[in-house]
Amino acid sequence: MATPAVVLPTLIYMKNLLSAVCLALFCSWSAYAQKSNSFTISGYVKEAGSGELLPGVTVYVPALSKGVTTNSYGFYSLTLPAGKHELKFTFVGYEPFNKALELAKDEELNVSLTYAVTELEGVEVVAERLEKQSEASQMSLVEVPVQSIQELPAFMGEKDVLKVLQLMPGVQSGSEGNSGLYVRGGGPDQNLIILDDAVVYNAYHLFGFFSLFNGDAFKSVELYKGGFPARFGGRLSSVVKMDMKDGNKEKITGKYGIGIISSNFMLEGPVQRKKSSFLVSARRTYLDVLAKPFISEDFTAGYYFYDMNAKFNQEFSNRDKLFVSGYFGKDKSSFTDKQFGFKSNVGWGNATATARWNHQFNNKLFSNTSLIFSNYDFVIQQEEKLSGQNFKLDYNSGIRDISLKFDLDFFPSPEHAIKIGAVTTRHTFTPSALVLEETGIKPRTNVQKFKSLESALYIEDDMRLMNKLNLNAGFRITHFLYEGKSYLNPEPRLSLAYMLADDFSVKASYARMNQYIHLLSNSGIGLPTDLWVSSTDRVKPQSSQQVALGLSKDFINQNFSLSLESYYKKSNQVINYKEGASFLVLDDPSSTREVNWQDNVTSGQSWSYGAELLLQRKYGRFTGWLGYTLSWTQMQFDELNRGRKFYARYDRRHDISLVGIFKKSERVTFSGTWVYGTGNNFTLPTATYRSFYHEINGQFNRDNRQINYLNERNNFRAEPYHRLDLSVQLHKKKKHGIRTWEFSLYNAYSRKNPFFYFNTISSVNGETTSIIKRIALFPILPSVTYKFQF
Amino acid sequence: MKQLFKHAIILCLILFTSACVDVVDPGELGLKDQLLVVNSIISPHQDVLRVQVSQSNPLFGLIPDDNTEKGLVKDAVVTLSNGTSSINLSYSAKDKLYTAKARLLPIVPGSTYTLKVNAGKVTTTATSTVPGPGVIPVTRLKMDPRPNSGAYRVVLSWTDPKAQTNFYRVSTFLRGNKQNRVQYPAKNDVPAPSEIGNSVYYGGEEFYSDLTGNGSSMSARGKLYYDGKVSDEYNFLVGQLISCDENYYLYHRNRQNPDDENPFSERTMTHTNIKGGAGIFASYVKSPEFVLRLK
Repeated sequence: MATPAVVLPTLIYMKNLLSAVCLALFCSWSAYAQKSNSFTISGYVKEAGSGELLPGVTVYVPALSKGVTTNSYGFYSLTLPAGKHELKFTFVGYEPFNKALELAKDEELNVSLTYAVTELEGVEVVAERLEKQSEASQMSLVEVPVQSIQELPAFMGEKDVLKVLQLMPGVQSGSEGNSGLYVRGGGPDQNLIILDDAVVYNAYHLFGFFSLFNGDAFKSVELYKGGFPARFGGRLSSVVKMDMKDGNKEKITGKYGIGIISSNFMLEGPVQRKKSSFLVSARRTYLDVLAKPFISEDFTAGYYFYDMNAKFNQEFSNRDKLFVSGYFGKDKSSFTDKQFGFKSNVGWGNATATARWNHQFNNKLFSNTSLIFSNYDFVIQQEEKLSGQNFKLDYNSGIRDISLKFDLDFFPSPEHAIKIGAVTTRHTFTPSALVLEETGIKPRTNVQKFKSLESALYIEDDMRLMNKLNLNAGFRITHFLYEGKSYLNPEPRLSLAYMLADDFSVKASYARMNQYIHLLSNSGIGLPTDLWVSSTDRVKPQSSQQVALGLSKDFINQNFSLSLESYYKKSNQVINYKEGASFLVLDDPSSTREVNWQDNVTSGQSWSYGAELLLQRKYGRFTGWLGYTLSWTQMQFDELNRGRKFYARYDRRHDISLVGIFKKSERVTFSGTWVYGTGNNFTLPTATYRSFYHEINGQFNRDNRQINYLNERNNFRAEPYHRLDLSVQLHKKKKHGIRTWEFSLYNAYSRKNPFFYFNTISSVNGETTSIIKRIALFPILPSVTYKFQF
Repeated sequence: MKQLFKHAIILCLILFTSACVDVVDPGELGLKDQLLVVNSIISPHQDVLRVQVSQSNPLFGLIPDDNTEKGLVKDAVVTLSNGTSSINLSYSAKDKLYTAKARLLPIVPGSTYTLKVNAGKVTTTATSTVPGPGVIPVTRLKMDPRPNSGAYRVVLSWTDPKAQTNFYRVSTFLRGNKQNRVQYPAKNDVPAPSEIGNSVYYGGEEFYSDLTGNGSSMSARGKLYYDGKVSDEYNFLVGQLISCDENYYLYHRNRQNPDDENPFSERTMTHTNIKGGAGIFASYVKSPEFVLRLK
């Protein structure tokens, strides 16, 4: 437990540092304002018809080549010299908006952008609407249009945000059907997945086949693979930032969908028109209900999951807004055998809640204060009652966070957009809590619970210098405290774009990251048994350094953008289970003998490097992208593989994704994806021989046990993975809305992609043979979904 | 319509749950190794030095029957040396081993030995340093009944020497003439030999290292399951400590805890110190027996 004696000086130190930085910024801004005869235009950009605040909108003055983008809450501030100006507001998927004004004083300008329902192909319109990727200082950023999540074919018809991210270069899937993200060689535990500022710890349903996020309630989805801005930290490999819609402030709207394994709905609308709104969405599977008629009464088994999103926001004034949002989801499987008095329940789930208060101090300074709660738990309950003998086992593990976060956005001039902030999180870990009751034996309890405090301060400045150089420089300092042991680490960040031409830039980035909490996983596929644990005095924080270099080119008239990036990432103190260890640290559950998880882990290093190519078309009737990744990932642990380097399980030399969406008309949308990936690595024995055992009385024994000889970790590469998914959506305008039928095929040519291999025995004609078998999970899977939007 | 819906559900469930399982040609996957397997444990307590040499089998393919001759290599050249002198071990068809009298190359605590095996085109080498000098004795052996459990708690203790890394194996068992039982038929009026009774169960913790407690007192705690009162039937509890080299420790732990049947367990590489092959060449020194009289 963190002691106040250690925590207080740290917090005071952080507070003083933040105050000093704010003072310095204020002084520099005052100096700038005094020197120039400039005025500030500020305001919010919203969606016309719903009042939804739009982040990432470009506000640009072409004559001066100056501009800014709206922050996460749709706020912008642009300081310009007095005089006539024409402002352009542009955003993906929305009609551009132009505004001419005479600037003689500070102005407040709130703008509403209209969603472009019909995509036009006119070159001029497209050119105007396009935000040039080459100009952005940020590299290694993937922005997924939320609409395309709904349009792409999906496994069993279940739309999945993380599976769309897997189609981007530099992001790989794990095994067949799994939603886990492997970003530039990092594992799923090294991704910071945040939903409305709340960290989501286990982002998967049904053993990783579905993610928690179906995208219905989302406003924006961003993935950072490198060049991390200083406002993000805490994980080594990526940041997935998802923001929920605020809810329609103008009218009640919604949609519902019925699929073959689940149904969902979403409802949003005003509470007080233009001032406050709500949004609720939910989904539940019904595999358990469908299977019920086929299961006998004495024996029941079932599985289902559900999730719910809810959000409320209130606009007190133009300067103060409140947002309250939450997510709650659960997976539950049960098994009952009445004849043997056996009952078992396994469940896991996340809950998050975020309360955010926006305050605009003046036309250049905007703040957000967040109070965040996040919880993940995994529970096993088992009960057996037979012939007077009772046995009961309760096991749970999990992690709970409470965070306080403060962010300031400061726009002193068009050349600088500064962000400053602080965050502190109290983690409570429960690696294992076990209660065991058995007839005739005293009940036994073994509960492990630990607390730690993680804090960070950051500052970043997005600079536009000399019309040629766009640069985001930042610095983050992180502090972690666990039972008196503290770690303090600086994290410099830099990302820049140098314009070689109007539409062509060279980009570079550097980021240093630290990760203080770790996931113990044997499977790497996002099982609920995976365990979050803290850095301790023995288990050090993971750290990484990543450099990336790239080229970015916009083909404006052809409506394409191209990026080519190479990266090198070195990570230290990455952790893994020791050989022979498993998540169930109790060898003998009846003893509940306490086993320290730290004894079961070992730390090492990893190297990832590669190149990524992305050719993307974002607008028009035909959209999509081609992604290609060439990569290597190696690891080394003193206590694994006899200390030798080995290729990671998901080291993938080639990874290709081809994605297309074609809107044939307002009534028909076709889409398809094709993916190819080098096979995963597995550890398999290569020979077998009779075991030898030394009896202590001196006999020399060659016993009957066979040793399956394993000489190298991940020694075997599986066959390549490839798959084609197709979908067609048929839309029809009805009296009260739009109905959509979606027909899709997963794995259209039924490729038998290997899920795993195992060796087994086969007996034919009296001869016993050892054989190897390949499990391929999903052949061609058709699905149909009905949706209605009103 | 209802029937159609029902059939559609069944079809979906079948498709969802029907994983495809195929037999794969292992040759295509490159999963084949041919290894020379060499096993030998040496100790100053042995009269005869023994080395076993065999060929591994491919993991996939026809499984050989239980014929213990299968795979044995009988024409290898097996050499054991201590750095200054060496001996060749010859194949014994009776023992199915390569053997030599220990007095030809005495095994001395603290000395390093090299085992070299040449079989056709394959040559393997391995070394082992015999623990020592000096024997680490058992300092305490204690046995207490565990109430209502039908078991006894057994503790065997010793003192780990400082400034060196040590590896151990413990063994504790009952000895004596079991009463109320027919004795072995006495042959030519020779008394029946003492019987060895149950061994103490150490719950998979038979092997120890001092990596986390160098120089301290160490203990092994186990359970002796016995239906009845032990002292009514046996005279002695015998405790023994083996000081072994690291390879002995790693090999036996590795063999004792195979993880290939636990899908949640991290796979363990097969331990071997045979360069160019597989198997084990290790050494040990036994402590004197520590005998606890039960009655």
